Amino acid sequence: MKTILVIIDDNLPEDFDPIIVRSEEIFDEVERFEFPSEAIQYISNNLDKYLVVLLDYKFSEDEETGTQIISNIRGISSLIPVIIWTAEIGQIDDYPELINRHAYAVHSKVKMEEIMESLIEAKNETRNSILEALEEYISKYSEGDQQSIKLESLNGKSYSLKELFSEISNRTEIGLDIEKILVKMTIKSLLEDNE
Amino acid sequence: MNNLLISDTLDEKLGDFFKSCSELAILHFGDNLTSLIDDRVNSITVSVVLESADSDYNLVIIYCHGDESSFLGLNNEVILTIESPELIKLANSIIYSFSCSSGSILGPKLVNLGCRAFIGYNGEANILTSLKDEFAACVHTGVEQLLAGSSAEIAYKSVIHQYKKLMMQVDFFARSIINDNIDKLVLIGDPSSEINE
Repeated sequence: MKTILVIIDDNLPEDFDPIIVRSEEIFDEVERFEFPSEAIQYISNNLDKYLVVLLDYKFSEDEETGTQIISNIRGISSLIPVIIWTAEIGQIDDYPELINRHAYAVHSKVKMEEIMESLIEAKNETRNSILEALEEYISKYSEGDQQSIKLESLNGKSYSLKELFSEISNRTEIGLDIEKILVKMTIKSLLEDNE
Repeated sequence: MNNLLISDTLDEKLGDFFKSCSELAILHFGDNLTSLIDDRVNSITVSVVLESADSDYNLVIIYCHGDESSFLGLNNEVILTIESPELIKLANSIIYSFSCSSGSILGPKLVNLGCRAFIGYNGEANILTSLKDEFAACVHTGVEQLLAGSSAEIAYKSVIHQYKKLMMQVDFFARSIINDNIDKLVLIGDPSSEINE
């Protein structure tokens, strides 16, 4: 599954900008959005992919702040790492709000190495998620089996392995339930290993 | 004493599974089983059969979809709810159910009405179609134990044991689903209850 960097900034870096050149070496795709609303729409439509967001903190007067945008992202998914970058780090006056919204890191735009380090870390953490484990599990089955093997619930609902993956990606009720079931088993296995 | 089987064998998704789970009881009880399967799993038939029952049921086996307060029959029609007056006809029986969530409200209600024991799930139980026979074997085990004269507690524990055995043979995903079924399996009522042959 693709890992995509989503850059949201009203002063978008050009193609030859080092942040773009280097990010393109790390991520499968780099998507740039000048307008936060378009980025939010893109994120909503691509929850079945691994996403990392690089978000500007300060937008022009009539736009939302980075803090508001990260709130909007959290309304869609709690799993996407959001790295804040800003031209003037001294402008940030609401760190507690950013922490509450689980900002992954906050960097000055001039600290390129620190930004790249956070992007790589965030990408690796995203790929270690439960989704990747499930994707690996599902990939062991043939395309036909991925459709035909189903989880049948005794409430009458039924999901193929592929549908389950999509449900978990999209954070639906059944997706969250399955995630909880998998996490519960993981913890149980870890505890049993320690006994 | 009569025994009752309600099994939604025509269910589009799990009909075959319910059918396979039902075979043991049908074979064991023969004529001593009132068998509501196929198109007889509807509210009218269930209501008529229960109302006309002239003695207590011994073992009641229910394989169909359900929720916290209802059992669902053919085409997801509600066939019994906590409000159904016919529930009283299940008093004194042991109920063995493989229906979603029935152990949370319906099961305790049945025990309050005099049911000796209720074995079922207090949340959404699941099966994997790639392991249908193995899941059916887990369901079978509980009935087998009850039919062999074991207590409800032993039947309940045998299902857990069978699930755990299956967990050792399958991959992590299937293990997680089985583990969740174990967590949701409940025994309500008198654990020492046994069916009367």
